[in-house]
Amino acid sequence: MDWVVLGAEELLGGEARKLKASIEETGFPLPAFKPYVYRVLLEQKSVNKETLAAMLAKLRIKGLTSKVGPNESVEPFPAEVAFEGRFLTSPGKKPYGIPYEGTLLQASLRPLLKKAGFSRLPSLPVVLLPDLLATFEPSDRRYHLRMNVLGFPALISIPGIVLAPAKPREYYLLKQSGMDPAGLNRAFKGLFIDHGDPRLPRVVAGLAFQALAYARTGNAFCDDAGCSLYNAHWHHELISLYGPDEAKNTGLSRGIPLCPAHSRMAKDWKVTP
Amino acid sequence: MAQKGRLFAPVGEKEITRAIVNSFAKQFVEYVESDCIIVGAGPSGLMAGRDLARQGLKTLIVERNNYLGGGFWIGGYLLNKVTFRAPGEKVLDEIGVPYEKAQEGLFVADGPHACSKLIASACDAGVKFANMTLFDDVVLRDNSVQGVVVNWTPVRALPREITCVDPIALETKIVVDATGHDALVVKMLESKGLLKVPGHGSMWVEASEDLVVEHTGEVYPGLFVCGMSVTTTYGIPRMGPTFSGMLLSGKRVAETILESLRNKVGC
Ligand SMILES: [Zn+2]
Repeated sequence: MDWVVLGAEELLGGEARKLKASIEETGFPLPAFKPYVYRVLLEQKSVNKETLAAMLAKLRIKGLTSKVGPNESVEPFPAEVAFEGRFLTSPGKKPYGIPYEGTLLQASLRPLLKKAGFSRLPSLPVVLLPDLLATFEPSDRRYHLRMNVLGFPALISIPGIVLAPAKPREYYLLKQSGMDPAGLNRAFKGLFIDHGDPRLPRVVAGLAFQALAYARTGNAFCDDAGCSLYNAHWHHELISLYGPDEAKNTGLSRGIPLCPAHSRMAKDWKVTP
Repeated sequence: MAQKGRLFAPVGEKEITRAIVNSFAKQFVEYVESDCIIVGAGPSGLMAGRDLARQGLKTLIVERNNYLGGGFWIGGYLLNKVTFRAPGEKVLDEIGVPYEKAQEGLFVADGPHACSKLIASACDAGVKFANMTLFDDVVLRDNSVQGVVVNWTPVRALPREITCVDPIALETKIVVDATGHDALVVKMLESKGLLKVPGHGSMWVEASEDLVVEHTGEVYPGLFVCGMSVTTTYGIPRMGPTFSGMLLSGKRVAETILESLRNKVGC
């Protein structure tokens, strides 16, 4: 199975090479790298700009508990459609903070990507996004932010890596007491993966690998907290996986952390393309 | 002119009353019709008013409190220092507020200094104010907002049996909702079924303050939103004291209004 990562250059900038290096050091075949997903869809004429902008504006989640249904006709405001339209080909400049319905976005992208030449199998598109993604959790009837959505295509939210996993409890207590976000982020520096963090490309590599493992085996998660397939819910779990910081990490492998079983699995994949 | 032995001119009470009423009435009559009415005199409303008046627009700001400035007098935790992320300091330069650099990209100023300078700057530009004035309703004509209905703020505090004080209407070309998280004007249109505003469920995520500026603009024909009312209107996550965002949103709405008026007259 081959795989394609879309948007690494636009969303990680110069750090995109770290993503490549990370995958390479794991010994797994490098994916093909393509531009940002909406750029590709527009260039391939899978969809026009207006339709794409309206589609995204409709997928905004506006309430924590108000479920966005697939058939719900929420007419977006012109300003929302215009906002999406302005950033379709410049994801690096798009301000984050609006969560989008992850499952519906994936379902909307599926036929567009197929039309653009991405077959369902054996090729897996891994789409990097500047947007927050959230999915509805029936158990507590509310939306939860996600770092990624598995399936075809696999979606990875870059700001979701910063905002979806839980930070230390004290962070939220201080935030509730009214401490300003900038001061708070300075006080907790190093205890969570922040925007522009040097570890971020490796986390992306791990999530991309997770997407690939799911596509190949149907199993996404691993119980081993030292494996990138572990379903991390806390920043401290991500940090124990990807290292306390870049400097301390130089002696170690900068590949994707894998448990012995998944390491063997990855090697098997390598010899049977 | 002061008489010998007296510090102040000998003006009687009746002359003082006449001066107040005449001056107020003259302005009021003049502003029964204007180019732009901004509801809310917080930082975004003041900034918008200043920029519009500087371009020659007849601009009135309606404010329910006696004092102007909204939350701009104090920053987080009731401390009277206000912070600005770059490029917000450029606006401070523009209105003459001194500030210090706290770190790269972050500036801090005295709340009272920043707020009073912004108010003065709006006044100097020619903005007029109707303070102690409540926004009560919108004037709708030809599917567009063409004015506001207002009343005195104290009317709401009166006992029910004597609140039969009817409001009055002010006509204008453009209304700006700068009422903060309340988004009172937008909510008024929602209550009439003219638009749909999301609930308050999305306070749960950190967001870039650029979002407020990027969504500033026209939301219904004749109605523009700026400042924190943008977050309520579009369901953007609420954010803390983001004064750069407020000032830039005020500037953005002024630019958008000027552009839309230019398009309307076709020049
Ligand atoms: Zn594993």
